[in-house]
This record gives sequence, structure tokens and C-alpha cells, in this order.
Amino acid sequence: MAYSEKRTKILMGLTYAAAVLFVLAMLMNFFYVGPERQQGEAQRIFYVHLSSFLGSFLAFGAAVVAGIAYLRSRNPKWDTLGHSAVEIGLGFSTITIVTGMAWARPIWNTWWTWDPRLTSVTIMWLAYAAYMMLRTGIEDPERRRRFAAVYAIVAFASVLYTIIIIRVRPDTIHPVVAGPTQAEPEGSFEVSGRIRDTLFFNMFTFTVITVVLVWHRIRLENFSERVARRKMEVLADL
Amino acid sequence: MGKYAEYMILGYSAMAVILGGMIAWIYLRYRALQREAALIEQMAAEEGQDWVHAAVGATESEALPGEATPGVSGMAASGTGADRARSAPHET
Repeated sequence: MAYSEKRTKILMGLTYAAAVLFVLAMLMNFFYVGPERQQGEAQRIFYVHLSSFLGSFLAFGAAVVAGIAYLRSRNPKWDTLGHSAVEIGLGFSTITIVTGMAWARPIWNTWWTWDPRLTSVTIMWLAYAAYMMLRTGIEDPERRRRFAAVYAIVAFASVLYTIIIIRVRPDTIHPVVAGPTQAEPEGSFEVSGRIRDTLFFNMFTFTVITVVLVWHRIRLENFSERVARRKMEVLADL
Repeated sequence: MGKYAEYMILGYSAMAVILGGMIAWIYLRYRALQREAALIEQMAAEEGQDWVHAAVGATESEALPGEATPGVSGMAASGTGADRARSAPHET
């Protein structure tokens, strides 16, 4: 099944838009917003750290929607979406972890500590890495799709746990930018104008990048299936 | 360079490497699949050519009825050109 011209044009347009947005976001991160008083230049990591987590959250969320839709319809296209979204989400959560480590070294004086947030994000990453590995271990396509759909729904608990943990555990040292905490049950979002603008622009940029990458990944998966099908046809004729 | 600039550079470099790796992986796999698709089509075209050669050879110049083993192999359906070529020694 070939893709329509219109869809291809939309994807190409989104791809160029994502590239331009990314360049603009980097310009904002380095030139529009200044360094933070206490954290210095290391604070600039925060924009991509939080935005990449948003990207992984959206991708893993898409995998949940795809999982539910697959279990209801048994249409393999939902499995393709789920698989693609988890793969891209895993990449973004790797960015979140690595950028977090680079920020933690000067601010916490350590690359890594088993803080509740860091532990939960590790569990989340491992849960989705296991999804990728376990998928390859099941040969029957129907069983693999069913398993992946259920797993993607269940694994999302680790994403929610990662978001909630710093708001309910008093012993975490991870900063909370927005929302209620133990110290501030009412919730707050105390960031200055330029930092807020830059943060929101980065979050929007990473959302677009996530959509573009998942879409490209879906097309790659579909292309791969078409090639595999054609190969079987040719081999059968030999 | 400001305070902790080296860690900022490290963080952004890591982000660029991972994001670039994700994009490169998708692109390289797409290219590999394109090559594989072209190879499959080439194989299919060659296979078609072989089949034509085999059919033409069996019915015309390469049939060599004088050298053929007498009898019917049962490998070709009756009425095909190849079958007629195999049965030729019995007819002469």
C-alpha cells in the first residue's frame, strides 16, 4: 500500500518545521535566556531535560492508546504505532536521563544518586527496554501484538509513578518545577518570564519532533513489512 | 564561558548525539530497505527471465529429443511444452 501524496507532503512539511523549531529552540536556550544565578550555565540543560521527558511521556502515552485500540480492533496498524512510539519514547527518556546526569554533577556534586525520582525513571527506562527485547522473543505475530499491547498499557504505570513520586515522597532532592509538593500542597510555577517562554517553546518543539519521529518510524515499519512480504512472494516463485 | 559551562556543553552534546543517532538510525534503515527492495525486484526480474529461457529451451532448440531419457517423468503437467519435449523420443 503506497502512501498518499498528501500525507507525504504533510510529513515533509512537519519534518522541516521540526528542524526550524529545533534551531530556534537552541538559539533561545543559548541567547534569549540568561544563565541562572546559582546554577549558572548548567541550568540551561533544564530546557531539553524537561522537554525530552515530555516527548517520552507523549510517546509512551501514544503506545497506551495504540495498545487499547489494538485490543479492541485487532488491527495491526495500532501495533505498528505502539512499537514505533515506544522506540522513540525510549530514545527521549535516554536523553532525559543523560542530560539529568550532566546537570546533577555540578549541582548535586554527583553524576547519579538513588533518589526516588532517579530510581523511578530507571525503572521506567528498563520497563520499556524490556518491551523492545521481549517483542523480538515472540515469533507468532498475533501473540506478539497482543502481548505488546497489554505490556504497553501496564508499563505506563512506571511513567505515572515517575511523575507522581517527587510530589508524594518528602525525601527526594529532585526539583519540582510545577504542581503540588509536600512543601507546597497548593502547587506553584515560579519561573521568570524568559525562562518560562524558553521552556514552553522547547516543550512545543520536542512535541513536534516526537510526532515527526514516530510518524517516520511508522512509515519505516510499514516499508519493512512491504519488503518482507515481497521477498516471500519472490522466494515462493523460485 | 560562564559557571558550569562544561556540564552544559556535555548535556547538550549528549542530547545531540542521541537525537542524531535516532534520526540516523531511521534514515540508514530506510536506505538499507530501499537497497533490499531493489535487490528483490532484480531477483524477481532475473527469475522471470530464467523461466522464459527454460520454457523456450525445452520446446525448441535445447530439447535434444535424441538424447532424452525415454519415459515420462511426471514433473510437467500434460499438454505443456516441456512435457511434449520429454515425450518426443516415443513419437519418433
